[in-house]
Amino acid sequence: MSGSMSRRHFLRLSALAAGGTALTACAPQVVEKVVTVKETVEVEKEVEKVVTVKETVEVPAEIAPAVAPASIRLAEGSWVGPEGIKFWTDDIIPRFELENPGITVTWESAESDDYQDKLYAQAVAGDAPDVFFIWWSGGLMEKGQLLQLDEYFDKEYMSDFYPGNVVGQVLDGKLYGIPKYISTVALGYNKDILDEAGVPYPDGTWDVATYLDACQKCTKVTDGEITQWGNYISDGYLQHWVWMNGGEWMNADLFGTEALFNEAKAAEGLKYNYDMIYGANPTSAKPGQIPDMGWWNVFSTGKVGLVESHSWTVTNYIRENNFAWDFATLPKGSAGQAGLTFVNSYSAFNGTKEKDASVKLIEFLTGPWAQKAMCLGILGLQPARRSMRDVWDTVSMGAQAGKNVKAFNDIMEYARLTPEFKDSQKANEVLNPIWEQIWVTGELPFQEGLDLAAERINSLYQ
Amino acid sequence: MTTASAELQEPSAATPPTGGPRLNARRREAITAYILISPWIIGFVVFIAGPMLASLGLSFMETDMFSYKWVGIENYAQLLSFDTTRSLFWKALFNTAYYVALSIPLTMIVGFSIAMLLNQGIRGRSAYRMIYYLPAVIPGIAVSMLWLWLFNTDFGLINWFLSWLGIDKVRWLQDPGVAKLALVIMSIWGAGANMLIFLAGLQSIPTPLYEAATIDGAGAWRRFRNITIPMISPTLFFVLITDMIWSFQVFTNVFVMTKGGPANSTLMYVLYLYNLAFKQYRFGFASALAWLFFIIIMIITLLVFKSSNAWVYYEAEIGGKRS
Repeated sequence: MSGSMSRRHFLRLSALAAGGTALTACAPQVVEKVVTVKETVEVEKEVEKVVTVKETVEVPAEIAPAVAPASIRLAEGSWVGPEGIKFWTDDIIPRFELENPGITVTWESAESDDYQDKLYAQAVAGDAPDVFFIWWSGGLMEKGQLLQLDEYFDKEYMSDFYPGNVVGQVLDGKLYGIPKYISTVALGYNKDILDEAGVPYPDGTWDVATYLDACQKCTKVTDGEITQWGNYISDGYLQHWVWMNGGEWMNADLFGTEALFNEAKAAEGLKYNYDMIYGANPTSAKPGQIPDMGWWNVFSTGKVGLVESHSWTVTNYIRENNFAWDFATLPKGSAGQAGLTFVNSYSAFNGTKEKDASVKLIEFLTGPWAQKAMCLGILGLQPARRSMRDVWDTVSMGAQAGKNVKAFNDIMEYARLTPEFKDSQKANEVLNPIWEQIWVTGELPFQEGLDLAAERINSLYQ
Repeated sequence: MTTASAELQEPSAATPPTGGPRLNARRREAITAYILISPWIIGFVVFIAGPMLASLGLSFMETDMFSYKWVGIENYAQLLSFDTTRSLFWKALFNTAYYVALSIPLTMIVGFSIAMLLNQGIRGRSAYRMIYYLPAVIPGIAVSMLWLWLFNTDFGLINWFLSWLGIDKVRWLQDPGVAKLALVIMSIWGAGANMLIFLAGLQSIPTPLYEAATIDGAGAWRRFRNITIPMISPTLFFVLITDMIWSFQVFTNVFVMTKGGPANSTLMYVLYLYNLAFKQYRFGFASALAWLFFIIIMIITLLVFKSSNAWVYYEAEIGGKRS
C-alpha cells in the first residue's frame, strides 16, 4: 500500500470528520467538573469537613450557545477572604461558562471598601466592567451609565423579587438592575449579656419601651466607666425608627423632594436613638468609646447586648462570635412595625460591547441556581427571590446553626426601601456634614440639626 | 584643537554651502537636546501640566465628570466659609497643620540624632545605617497595617509597654483627642530617610574645622553649635522643605488606619479632597480644594525660603552674599 494519500481519500476523510464533529455537537455535552462540597460530620464537637468529590455535570444540548462568543468582565466580591474569591472563580464563573459555551468571563475584584469609587472612575473613563455588583447604583443609574434591562427581563421574571428591592432599580419607569440579595436589618442579641442582666430574649413582641429598658439593663458601669454597652447605634440607618413612630422621612417612598424627618413624630423616633448616645444614661457608645472598625464588628466584641444588624452578617457572626447569640424582629413603635431594606443589584455598563452576553450573565447570577449557591455557600446571602425564602429559613448556614434567620424574611414583608432624595448626590452633599455633626461629633443640637438639614434639602427642590 | 571641538565651530562665512540647507552645530545640538528631554516634557505635559490646567478649569465648575456647569468662584467661596455644615476645609486644614507642626520637628530631631550617632566611628556603621533606613523603603500600606497593630487598644505593643509603666489603655485610634497625636508618633517611622541625608551632610563637613576649633579650646557643645549646625544648615533647609511638602500631603496612613475618624479628628486635607472627589463625586469642589492647597503650600515654602537668608549658611558666601 502506498504511503501517500490520494486527493479523493483526503476529501472523504475530511467529510467524515466534519460530519462526526457536527453529530458530536448535537449530543449532550458531558463535562467532568471538580466541585467542593462541605459536609458536616458529628464528632465530639461539630466541625466542618471539606471534601472534594468529582461530579459529572451534564449540559443539555438545548442550552448550547444562545449568544455569540464573547469575552466579558464581571466585578464581584465576597468580603470573606480568599475562600470567597474562589467561590466566584472556581464555582460560579465556570458553571456559567459551562452553560454558555463561547462566553468567557474575567473576574475583577470588588472586595475593597472603595470599589464603588473605582467603578465610578472606570465609568467616567468608559472602561467599566461589562457586569458588576453594585449598591444603590452608586449614582450611575441617574447618570445614564447603566444598561437598560426592560427588553431582557419581563414583568414575570421580576415578579419573584421583593417589590421593595425592585423599586430601587427603576428610574423613570425603566429597569437598570436585578436584585442580588436581600439586605435588611433585624435585632441581634447577645444571649450571655441578656441572661446576666435578667432580660428575657426578644421574641418579636417587644415595643420601644421594652427595648429601651433592656438596653439600660444590659449596660454595665465599672468604676464610673461604661464597660459593657446595652446596644450600638449606627447613624447611617435610622429611617425605620421614623416609620415605626408614625413619621415619614420624606414626601415620597423614593426620590422625594421634601424632607420630613424633622417633623414631630419622625423626630421623636430618632430622638430615642439620640438619647441612647447623648442622653443622661447612655446605652450606646459615642465615636471612639469602643474600638470601631466597622459597626458589624462591634457585636462580635461581645461587649454589646443588642445591635441592629444585616442578614449578611449572620455568617460572619457564626465564624467570629464566641458567645451565644441570635436574631429577632425589631421592636414595635407606636405606629407598629417597620423595617428597612437596601438596594443592591447586578447591572451592566451602558458602554458594554457585549450586551447579550452581559445580560446572560445577569440572568444566570440572579437565577435560582446562583441564588441558592450564594445562600448556601460561603457568602451566606439571603436570596433576593421570594420563591427561595425557604432555602434561607431552613437550610442556610444560619438556619443550620439554629439561628432565627427567619426574622429577616419576616421583616421583608413590611420593610421599606432606604429612602433616597431626588438627585441623591446633591441631597447627600447637604445632609452628610450636618448629620455627622448631630450624630458623630455631637456639635449640633439634635432638633436644630434636623431642622437645618431639612431646610437645606428642601431649598434644593424649590 | 581636537576634532570634536572643531565640529562645534560655526562654518566660516567664506565657505560656500555645498548641497541643500544645513543646520549649524548649535541648532543641531539644541534639537538633540530637545529630543533627549522630550520623554520628560511629554510626560510632564500629559500627566502633570495638562491635568493641573484641567483641574483649574474644573475648580470653577460644578461637575460629576458626566455633566458640567460653570459656577465661577462659588466653590472657593463655599470652601472658605467658616460654616462647618457646608465645608470641612478649616477642620481639615487645622488637622493637617497640627500634624505638620508636630511631625516635622520630631522626625528631623530623631533623624538628626541618629545621624550624629552614626557619624561617630562606631563598628558596623553601615549595618546600623541600613537598619535605620529600612523603614523608609517599606510600602506605606504595610507600614500602616503594622502600626494598626501597634496601636491596638487591647493587644497592641504600645499599650502593653505602657501597662508596665502603670498607664491605662490608650484608645490610640478611637479617641478623638488622641488619634491625631498617634499619627504624629507614627511619623517617626520615616526618620530613617532624614537620617541618611543628615549623615551625608555631616560627613561633608571638613574635619580640619573641628581640629582647629579643638586646638582653640572649643568644647563639644561649641563645636556642635558653631561648626556642625552652620555647616549642615543647607541640609537642614533641604530636609525641612521636602518634609514639609510631604507632611502636608499626608494621606496613605490616614486613609488606611482611620479614614479621617473618629469624628473627623484625623481628617487631613488630602483625604478630605479624596473624599470629595471620589466618594461624593464633587470634582469641581475638590479641584478648588486642590488649588487652594497648592497656593497654601507655595506661600509657606516661599516664606521658609525667605527665612533661609537668616539661618542657612553656604560655604561660598562672602559677606552674607553668595559669590
